[in-house]
Amino acid sequence: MSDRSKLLRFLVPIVLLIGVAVWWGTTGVWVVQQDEQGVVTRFGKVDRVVQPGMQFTLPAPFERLERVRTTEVRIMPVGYKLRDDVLGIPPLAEEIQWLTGNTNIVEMKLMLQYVISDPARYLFRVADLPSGESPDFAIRKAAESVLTRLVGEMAIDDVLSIGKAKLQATARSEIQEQIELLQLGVTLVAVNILEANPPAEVRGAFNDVINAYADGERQKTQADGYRRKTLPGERARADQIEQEAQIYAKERIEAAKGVAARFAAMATEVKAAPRVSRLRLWLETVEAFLARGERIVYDDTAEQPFRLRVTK
Amino acid sequence: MRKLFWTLIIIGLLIAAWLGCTVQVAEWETVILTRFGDPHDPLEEPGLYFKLPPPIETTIRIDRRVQIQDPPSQEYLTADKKNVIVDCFLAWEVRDAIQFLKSVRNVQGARSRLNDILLAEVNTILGETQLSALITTEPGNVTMRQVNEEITQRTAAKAQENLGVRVLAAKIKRLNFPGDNKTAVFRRMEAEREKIAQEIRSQGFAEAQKIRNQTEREAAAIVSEAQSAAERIRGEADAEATRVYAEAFEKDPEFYEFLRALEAYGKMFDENTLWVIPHSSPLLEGLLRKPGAGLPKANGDD
Repeated sequence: MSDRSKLLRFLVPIVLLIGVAVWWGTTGVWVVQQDEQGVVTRFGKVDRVVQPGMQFTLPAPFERLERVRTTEVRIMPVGYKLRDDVLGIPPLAEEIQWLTGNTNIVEMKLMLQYVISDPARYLFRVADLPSGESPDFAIRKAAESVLTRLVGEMAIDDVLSIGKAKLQATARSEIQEQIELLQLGVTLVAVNILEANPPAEVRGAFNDVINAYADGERQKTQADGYRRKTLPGERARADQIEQEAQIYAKERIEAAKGVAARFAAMATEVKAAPRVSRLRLWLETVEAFLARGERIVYDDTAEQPFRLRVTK
Repeated sequence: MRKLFWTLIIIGLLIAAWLGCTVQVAEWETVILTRFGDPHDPLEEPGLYFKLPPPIETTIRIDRRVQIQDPPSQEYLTADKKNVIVDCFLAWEVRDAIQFLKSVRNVQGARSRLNDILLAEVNTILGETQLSALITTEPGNVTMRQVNEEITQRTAAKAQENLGVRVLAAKIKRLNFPGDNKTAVFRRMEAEREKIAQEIRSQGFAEAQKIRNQTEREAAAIVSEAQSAAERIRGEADAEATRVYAEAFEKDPEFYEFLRALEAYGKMFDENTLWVIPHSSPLLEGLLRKPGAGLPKANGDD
């Protein structure tokens, strides 16, 4: 054997060995993306959680790294299925209907938003559901349990209107409690009520209540209109009454003043020549009324008494 | 060549020894070691363990993650004789792996046993519960909480005792009514709404009527105040006129009397009056007799 072939026999296994070692080593090199965290397990035991960037672990089979997208906000529909929603299939009654206090039924769709806050728990703590769904769907079950209780304590009018905000807030904290209990490793960001309606079967009756409010408002508006029209009219009438009184007052006083002035003038005139003036006034009067009517002049000095028979 | 052969043999043996004498327990499982088929040692902490090689020691892996299960919904009769469809869910994990193995063998076996336990407990508890208490707007309603608590506790007790399982939660998830009852509920809801609508309308009418009434009252007040003011004005004017007359006539009352009498005569007699006048009347003095005898002295001041 030559020196050359000796060298080759020595080198080939070394190079092969190094190649295998390098390849083996690369199984311990990982890239964790910006929106991810990595969970490193050593012999199947969670060892550490690592942040985005290039990460090194012991090579397989000693350590493994699993990546989880932790910044992504995930959604979980409650009261309907996303798939049905996309296909335009209406939700089933048992999905969308909830019992409210006073034994009413309300239709409600909600959307939960959550992020993965504990990647190790999220990955390893909860098994897939028997239906094959991921553990994320346990969030829906926890949420349904809490909502059934909360909605069951509310009057339907509250669920449909003013109670929504409070329901969302209370539900968020209580569902989070259940999530902790089930160790799902996620944190609820928001509980949003997308829709809350009376069931289709009774929607007419509910709409009629809204119409009733409108009717009531219309009645009030009409009454207000009547008020706006009536009061100025009555004020005008009142003003007319007062003005007429003022006119009467003016006329009456002016008439009195006129009569007084005339009397004063006559009195002055009469004073200047009392006898003649009075005689004239007297005669004018007598003349005026004797000129009217029937007149009979008889001789009261005659022997025969004067007789007159008046018949009416 | 022989060297390489032996090297490979040794590597093979090492790998076999590694596989046969170590056991990796992952985060989500408990591994039970069995010695000649007899389970004896549950490895609950994840990590790497050494053991005797098979067939002396073999392993059984038990999933110890939280299992969520959702038994089919069932119709129940509550204490107040209401039919209600109840949907529950259950969350559990293996607590005693050996007992779990002996009683149900695996998760599938546990699920069906737990379903039976849960449904039986729910049936018992709902039979003692009023539906009207379960869904109510009474303040401080705690029935649903209590019922959930009780379902969890009772299921947990049985599961722990018989299956080696710890129940984390066993709760009512959804409630609804069966078809016929639902129709009745809808009819009642409609009746409630009709009543509310009626009330709202009546209230609207009442408020509108109130506005009208108030308008009438204010209008009447405006007019009557004006009338009273008018009367006052007239009265004051009459008083003033009277005062003006009195002031004027007071200056010569006797002449006023004369003048007023003449005026009165003028009004007293008209064309229907029949005058019967004797010859001796002073009116005719100048006509029938020589004058100067008797015209009235209307005033005695000359």
